[in-house]
Amino acid sequence: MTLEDVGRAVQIALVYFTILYLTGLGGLFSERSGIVNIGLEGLMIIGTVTGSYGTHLFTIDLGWGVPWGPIAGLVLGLVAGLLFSSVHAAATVTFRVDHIVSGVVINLVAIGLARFLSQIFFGQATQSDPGQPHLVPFDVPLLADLPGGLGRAFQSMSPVVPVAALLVVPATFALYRTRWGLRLRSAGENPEATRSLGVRVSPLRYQGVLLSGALAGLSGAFLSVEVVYNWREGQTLGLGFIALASLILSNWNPVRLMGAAFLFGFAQAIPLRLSDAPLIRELPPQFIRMTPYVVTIVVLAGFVGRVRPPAAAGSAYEGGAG
Amino acid sequence: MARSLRAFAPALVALSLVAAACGGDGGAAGDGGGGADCNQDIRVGMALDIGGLGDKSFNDAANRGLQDAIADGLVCEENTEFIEADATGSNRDANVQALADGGYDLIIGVGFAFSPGINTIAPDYPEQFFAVVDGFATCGTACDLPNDDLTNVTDLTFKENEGSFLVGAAAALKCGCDTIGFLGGQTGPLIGKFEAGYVAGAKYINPDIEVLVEYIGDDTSAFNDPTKGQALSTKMYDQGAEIIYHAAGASGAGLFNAAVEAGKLAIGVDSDQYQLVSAEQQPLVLTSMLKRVDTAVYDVIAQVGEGSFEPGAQVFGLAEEGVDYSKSNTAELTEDIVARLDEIKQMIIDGEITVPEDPAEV
Repeated sequence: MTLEDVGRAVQIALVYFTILYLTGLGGLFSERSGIVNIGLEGLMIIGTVTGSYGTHLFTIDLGWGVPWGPIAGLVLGLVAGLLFSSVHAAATVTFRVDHIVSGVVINLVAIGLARFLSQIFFGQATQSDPGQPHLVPFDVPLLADLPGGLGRAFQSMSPVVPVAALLVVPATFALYRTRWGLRLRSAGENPEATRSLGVRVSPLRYQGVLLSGALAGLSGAFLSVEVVYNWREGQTLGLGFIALASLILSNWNPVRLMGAAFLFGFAQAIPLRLSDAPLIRELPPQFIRMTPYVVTIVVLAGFVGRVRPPAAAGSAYEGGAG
Repeated sequence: MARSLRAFAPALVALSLVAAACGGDGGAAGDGGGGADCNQDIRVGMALDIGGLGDKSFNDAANRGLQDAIADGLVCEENTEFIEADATGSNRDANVQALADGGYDLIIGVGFAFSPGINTIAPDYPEQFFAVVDGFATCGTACDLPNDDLTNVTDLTFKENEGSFLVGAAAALKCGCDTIGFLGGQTGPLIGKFEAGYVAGAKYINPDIEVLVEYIGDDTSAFNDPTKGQALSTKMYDQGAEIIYHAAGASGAGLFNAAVEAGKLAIGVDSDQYQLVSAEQQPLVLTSMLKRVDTAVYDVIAQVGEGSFEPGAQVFGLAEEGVDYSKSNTAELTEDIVARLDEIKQMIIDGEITVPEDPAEV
């Protein structure tokens, strides 16, 4: 193991961080409003296929040297995720379907729907053509020049990575410093009290779920457009569920979510880059490949007793007039 | 209003589940007209493995064999069907069962993972024929499968180690370097044949060469994970590999992304990947180990049409033109390298070089 391996591991971890953070942040808004969203994986899947399609479709160059195709892909993934999450919102908020049942349906439908869309979009059911255009990667100033190969971590980075990390600022501000954020959180803690103060709960919960759809869709689009450069069936590989795990570990807090997403992202990088690190190299390769999942379980098992989900998350609000 | 609509919610949920289940079906195979001059007597069903159509590799090669057979009138297009597996391959056996129940005369499972299922299903359909690409279905109890002596099953297998020997030699000849790499998909004897041939070929040219080896995983999803493929390829390029060869199906797309980033060469597999990758990747594809899955599929369709189906294992090596290497990238794979490779190829066919099958034997 060299410093370059560590740098590369962090580089990989930052990619997974971006996926987990965007998706987890979406889940955070949904659950803070009181709607449990285990459909994040399905929302990501819709983002992957539509994101790739946006890139594939939008080949017009509007100038200024901007890669418009990938931007169109990211935007389309975000919009498609938002639209698809409206199904979950309608089911859980308006029709008061059990949140878990609706979330499972979202995940199952997404798999079939993605194939259906792919057949229409690309003429083949399970992938688009590889090597699609992507945003120009950049080297982070100063950090990319870190010595001994550590700088690798901050070289050829997708511009979406810092954008995702910086989302922590508006997210925290909106949640803790605005009237909307207070109301959203109260809808998730005690909807009856919220309603008694004259604030309508249903619109807040719709907003929470739609935000989760938009962010998970963007996350999926990032994966297909910026990481793999094409859509492939199954490319989300359960990351939506690891994002849920990050969310629990973060105690539904956007700042702590950064740490949780990076931790799980780094666990993904261990078998890919650090398999010859001390201690790890003693393990059989099958166990090394398991590390991301083992870390997820161990960390969650250790922390789950110390976190507190929003009190009303998972329960329908039965009050009249929304 | 909301309360009355609520009654429909379970029905909506049920409907969406049905929609999800239907989403898994493939369409009728291919395009192009089904001419009148085709053999109406047989119907051919093909069950694809994960990776699917458009993988630029294994499944596409199988489909090419079917399309060639249709073009040559061995079977009529309207009498063919293919089904794609789901993302984890969990419905492989169900797809084979569906084709068998559909009365197809020949059912082709595209991938070794179909072997156990076809070994179990085939005895129930004695009038129909089954073929498994890369399969071990006829191996029977020796391979822990339930049935021996199946007369309606054939395994279409390849001497990938022979083709891989040639691209290993090509890598060593091209770079004149000390280090090259190998990216495998799923660990096990099948991809081990690629690794063994590749390492032996490189060492035949340069006995001191070091071959870095990375495998993506231990199940078939390893063939469908370009993100990990790219990370592991980058690792080997960082460690000094000048050229990397992949036997990782659709995960190989990650190798080509990594090659562009590193500005180094890569070697493709199964199909001539030079023809299939993006323009920015193309110059970096030195050659590809061609595995003529298309030829094997075409041949077995022809056999069933003529009534000359051969049960048991059919092996396609260099001598049978079942494996080869591609010469498309003339800028990188220069004439002197090609001349040398063709010499080695003849030596393998003549038995002067024996290519190992197990990496432990190299």
